[in-house]
Amino acid sequence: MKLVTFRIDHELYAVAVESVRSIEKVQPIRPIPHAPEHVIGIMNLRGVVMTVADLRSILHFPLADFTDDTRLMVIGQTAFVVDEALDVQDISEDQLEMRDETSDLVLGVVQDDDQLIVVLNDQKLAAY
Amino acid sequence: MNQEYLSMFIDETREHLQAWSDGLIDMEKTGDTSPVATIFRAAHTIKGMSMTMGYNRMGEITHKAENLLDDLRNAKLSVSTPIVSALLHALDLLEGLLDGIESSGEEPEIDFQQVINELAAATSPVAQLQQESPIATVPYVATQNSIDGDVIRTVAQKVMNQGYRIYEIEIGFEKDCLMPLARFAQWLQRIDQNQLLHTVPNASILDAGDYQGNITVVLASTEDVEAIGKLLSSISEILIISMSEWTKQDDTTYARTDNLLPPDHHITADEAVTSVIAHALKQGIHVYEVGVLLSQTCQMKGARIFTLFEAIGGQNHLLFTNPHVQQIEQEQMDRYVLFVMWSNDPIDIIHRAIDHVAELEIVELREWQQENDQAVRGPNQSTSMSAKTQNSVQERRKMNTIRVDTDKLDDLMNLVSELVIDKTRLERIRAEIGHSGLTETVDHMSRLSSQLQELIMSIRMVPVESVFNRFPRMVRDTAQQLHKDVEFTVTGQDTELDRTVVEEIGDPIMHMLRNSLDHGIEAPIDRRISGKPEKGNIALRAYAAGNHVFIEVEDDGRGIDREKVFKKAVESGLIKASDHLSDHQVHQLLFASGFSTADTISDLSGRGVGLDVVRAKIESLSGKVDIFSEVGKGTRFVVRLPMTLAIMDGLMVRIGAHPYLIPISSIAETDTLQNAKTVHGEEVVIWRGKVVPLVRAGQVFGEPASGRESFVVFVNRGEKVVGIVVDELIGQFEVVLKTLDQKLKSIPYFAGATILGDGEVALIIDANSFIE
Repeated sequence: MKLVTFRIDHELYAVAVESVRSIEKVQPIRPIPHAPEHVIGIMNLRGVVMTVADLRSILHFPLADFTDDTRLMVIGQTAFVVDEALDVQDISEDQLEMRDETSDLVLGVVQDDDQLIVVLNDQKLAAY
Repeated sequence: MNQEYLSMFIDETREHLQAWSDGLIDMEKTGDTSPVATIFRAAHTIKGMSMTMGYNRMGEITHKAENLLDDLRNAKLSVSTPIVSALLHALDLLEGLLDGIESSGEEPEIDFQQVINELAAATSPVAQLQQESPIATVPYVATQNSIDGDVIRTVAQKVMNQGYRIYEIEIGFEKDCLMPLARFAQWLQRIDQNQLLHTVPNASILDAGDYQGNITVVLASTEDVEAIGKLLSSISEILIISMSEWTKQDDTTYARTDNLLPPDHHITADEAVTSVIAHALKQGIHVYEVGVLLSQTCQMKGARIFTLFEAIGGQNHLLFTNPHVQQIEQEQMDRYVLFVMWSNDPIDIIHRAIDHVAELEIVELREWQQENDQAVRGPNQSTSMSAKTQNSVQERRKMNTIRVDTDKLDDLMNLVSELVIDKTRLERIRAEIGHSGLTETVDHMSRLSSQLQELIMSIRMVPVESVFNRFPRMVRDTAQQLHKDVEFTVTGQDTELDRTVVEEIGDPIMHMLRNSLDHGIEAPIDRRISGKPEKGNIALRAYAAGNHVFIEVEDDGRGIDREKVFKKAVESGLIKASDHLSDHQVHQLLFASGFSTADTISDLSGRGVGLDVVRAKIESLSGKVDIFSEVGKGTRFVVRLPMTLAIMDGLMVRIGAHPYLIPISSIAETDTLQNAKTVHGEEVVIWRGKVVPLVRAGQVFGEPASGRESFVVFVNRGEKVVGIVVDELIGQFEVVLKTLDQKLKSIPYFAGATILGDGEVALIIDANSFIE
């Protein structure tokens, strides 16, 4: 399976490449009063009003300001804010290990060199 | 299986099933058998299509249904409840099969034997009747004033009792007609085969094929003399010699009316007349002979005929008339007028000119021709000409409609929305630049884009009929289940609404109708006791007013018992016992969520089932629903819906750091914020003599107080008014409504979002949420 890897804080994450519709630079985002905590707001993505969600909030990281590396990963109808989009990696299914931290949102973990990549369930993510 | 054929099959079959359903309901309600023909056609078409597609279950059911329907229209059977039920069950089964086909492409394996048996059982009495009346084999002699033959009389009686009229028509053939019997067969196709009761000579002689004399036909029809005459006179080379109707004298004797055809008016048989015509023809002028029949309802026959003379170029174009012009002037005439005229125009122009005159019909139109110095009357072209016009009209209509995938329509709508956004952006740039050439172009583009928008909107509009037409059946079934007698009337089916709204509106209407049936309309005995007719009335209406479409469900049932509703509302904690509410306010409580639970309904004389659901649905469509009721008189639900959803006018305001739009349709007035008072800790302002609560939008949206809140937008819904306090009024904009993501829909304050001219997004405020 091919995975898009990205960084949040100092950790590596990945989702299936076919679930990612596009990766965008940050654009002006309009906040929405009374929206769920992980929703930053809405933005105009080429004529479509898209909800912007913060993966930091979903994965329980402390909130942080956007940097030049910050990217939006569009999955389903939502643009997810990640700290940096990295690479596309090809891994075989049996490299995917289930770990204790496996939850609804996490499919499993992949060991890559000396790093751990947490693979997220794109369908659960899209429903966020 | 070709997907395109399949979806076409499904679409068309649905239409035919709907026609079937409508026809049945209509038939049961009025007892009139005229819808039988429509249902028969529907069944026949479905049979053909489903057989072709290989759906044999549908084929077999429709085949059996067709037999039954055939006997019905053939008047071998009369409409009865078992027949209607059998046809309804067949319809249900067909709908089930079609649903299966739609979802899987395969015909589901439903057991349909019972329906087949039911249809067969309903059909069987025919066999008996056929034995009683072997129509075709008994010799029949038409005498001057009575009808011989017991069998014919029996059949006639049966047929007449079912509201048919019986005509006896004698036809002949033009002298040079080559294949008279082929013509006759063609002529017979105009008649529903099952309405043909008898022919003289009989079928065996005609089938032999070399008969050339006149033929007398007896047929049954619901049409009147004129329609029959029109229908049957349109085959060339066939002449209708006489036509009469049988009328019932008493139970056993019948009489035949005199010939109903206009008498022969061939004034041109006169030699003096033909010589004048010949003279005109020699000068190269067209000469036409025209016979017209005025409609029965024509009030001023003379005036109408003079209009006709004007239409063909004035009275001086007339060579002869019968009756004489003076008689026409004095209205001494019957409905038939024949005249000979000259003209420079070709025959089709003349035909059109006459055709445009109201209240009359062209019976004869011949052009005179010159042959060996003699004037000769040409063939009658009236029917062939009108057939030509009709055909071309039909052809044009066919060309004018195409089926379009609704997804494409939505895509088109989205593109137009984009265009509107760009237009707004351009307008802003134009204002900044101030270039005159640009200004002109942008103006033109604005006009074009609004036209385009209007057009696409009108394309998206569909009549509510597609939703409404399922209700008669539902009301009938529910009323039967509840043992209630209900007259259901539907009006305004052609009222148009945006397609998306029409798709959504069905369920709420059904809820309201169910409510009326269940809780509104009383049992027949109760109605009689309270002095009402046993049959209750439920009306479903749709009409457009302004930018809104109204849908009403009204019943003449028992109405809402204020006290019970009030008590219930106090019990469920919606209001306090000490609250003072108007009747209208009490009625609205029925829509409150949590008010209606199943156990409270049965002992409540009013309503309740799912009305909160109704309100939620209507409001999600940006509509509102109201309820009006009077005890003992009935209840009326009124739903108000915006005609279109996608594009709206909004007032842009600034609240804190962000722009928001408030729909113009909910704004009553805007004003500067002044003289705000505090009553019971709530901010209010006096507006038009009323105390109106103020809502500080910034506070609601969690903006830090800017201290610059200086404007009030008064929004209203009915009598309720609220002042929304905003920082700044920016201006009025036309915006495209984009719905919010599912996860944001639970936020009450927003109806959606839009993309502004500068490419940024802004939220659209749902004013209703501030009112509540």
